[in-house]
Amino acid sequence: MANRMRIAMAAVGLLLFGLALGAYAQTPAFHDIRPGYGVTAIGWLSDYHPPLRGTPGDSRVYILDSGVPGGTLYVQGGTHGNEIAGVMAATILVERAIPTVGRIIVVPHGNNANVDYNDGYRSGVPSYVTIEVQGGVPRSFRYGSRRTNPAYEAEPDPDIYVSPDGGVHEGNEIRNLNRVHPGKPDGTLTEQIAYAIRQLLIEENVDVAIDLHEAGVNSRLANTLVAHERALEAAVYAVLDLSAQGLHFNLEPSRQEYRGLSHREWGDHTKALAFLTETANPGQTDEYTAPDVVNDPKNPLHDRVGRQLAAVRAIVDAAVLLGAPPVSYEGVPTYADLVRDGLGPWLNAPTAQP
Amino acid sequence: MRNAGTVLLLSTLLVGVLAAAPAMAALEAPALITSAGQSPGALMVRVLADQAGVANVYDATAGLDQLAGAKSLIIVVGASMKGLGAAGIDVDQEFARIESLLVEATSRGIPVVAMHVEGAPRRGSTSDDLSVLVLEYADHAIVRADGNEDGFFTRLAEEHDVTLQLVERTAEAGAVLKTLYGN
Ligand SMILES: [Zn+2]
Repeated sequence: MANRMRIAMAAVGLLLFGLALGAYAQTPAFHDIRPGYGVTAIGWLSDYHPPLRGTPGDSRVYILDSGVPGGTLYVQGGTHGNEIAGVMAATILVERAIPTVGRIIVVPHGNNANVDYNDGYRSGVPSYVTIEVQGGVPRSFRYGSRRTNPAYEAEPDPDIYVSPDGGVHEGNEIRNLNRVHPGKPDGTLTEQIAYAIRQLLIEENVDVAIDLHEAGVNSRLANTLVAHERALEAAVYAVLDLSAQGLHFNLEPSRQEYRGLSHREWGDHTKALAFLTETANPGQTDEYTAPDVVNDPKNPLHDRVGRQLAAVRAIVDAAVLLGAPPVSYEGVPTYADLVRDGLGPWLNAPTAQP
Repeated sequence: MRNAGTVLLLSTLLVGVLAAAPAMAALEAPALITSAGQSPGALMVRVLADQAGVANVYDATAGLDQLAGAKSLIIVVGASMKGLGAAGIDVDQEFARIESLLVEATSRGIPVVAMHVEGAPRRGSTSDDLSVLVLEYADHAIVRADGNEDGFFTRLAEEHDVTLQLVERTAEAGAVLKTLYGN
């Protein structure tokens, strides 16, 4: 009896373990994102590439449609899960933006398969950051990694990775979403994520696509706007607009040799004007031993998010000025708003004010 | 009535322009805008010049031919190895092209405006060497202040008797151009 009981319990245990494993393998990570009134539909990347469904690479797609004819803006955070200013800027768009002309499509976690993994790319960074919102309530956001969790890829990294259009990279870059564009429908998980994004850009007729990143504070890329050559003119206007607001952004044209990167491949493979932004993240800075990725005195998160959102606005305005179909929105904090208030008041609170 | 109004408006504008004209003779358009170093700074200056109403011809790799019709020369300094690579020119060729433009402009009495508008991130040995070359021939220089924190441009301007105007923001260089061209 006791033995039979033990065996039965072991069997149940095994079954539960198996179910848990199955669930683990088949569920993409969910995040604390609280869509606001602007969001009219929520989909998945797998809507654009069905094999992604039920994999850790699937990710939420938020559609904000004004109902007024115009263009389509695509904003992506979390290509690199450790570059959280982009994730938070995208999150604020989902929670606060109210489109008034055209549509905005937001994917806060471009690579959702890197959010639960620390690749050791930089040490001393947390796996979560916490922001206090209205009423003193904490909200937590994942601090992921640069590359896809290797547990989610079927094959070990090759010695050398050649991107679909011939970019040659170190082997582990096969798990770096920003080296594998435009992706492959039957490729690795990371390549399939890139493929789904490319399909989204094409099927949704995206006019302007922006990939939000961060770099180390002493990196030459910090506070930089990169633009595909078709988008360069708009990028010049955007940088000058940002400059007039007192925000210095370096301008970096995309080059032919940047194969596999979003600004290169989105611009080459879709009709979108492709841009990539970079702010200065203390968490990616070799010289910092104990980086504070939220409250760093020089580059606090709210400042970086303000820069990202200012860049998105300046890019859209410039593209429209130069002839892209119109997109407009309100409700999103300006750089000055975020410097004044911090992030808390601009993220949705769990309840109405007490 | 409409004609009289137009004439009145025009003369008011003219008086305004004359009153606002700086003591120094204004530079004349069209300006040839080129890059020294192939960074995107020259493209930014082209947009600023357009906005300031300065008629211009923009060619990042302009040669002497393009200087033929120009009444002023704006050289925007900023070295980008990738930009040079994309343009298919090496550093020596870039120095030679810029020097030939400067020599020709000087011999023809075409005023030269040196600009460095991308700030501290666009300082570096190649950029600095190009600035040394261009400031030697320049009449005016417009520099974003964070690119002059070590006084590099101040010293060069003093040495070569160049009128130096510092701006805090790249976008403000447009207003300086507007004034220089008497627009
Ligand atoms: Zn990145």
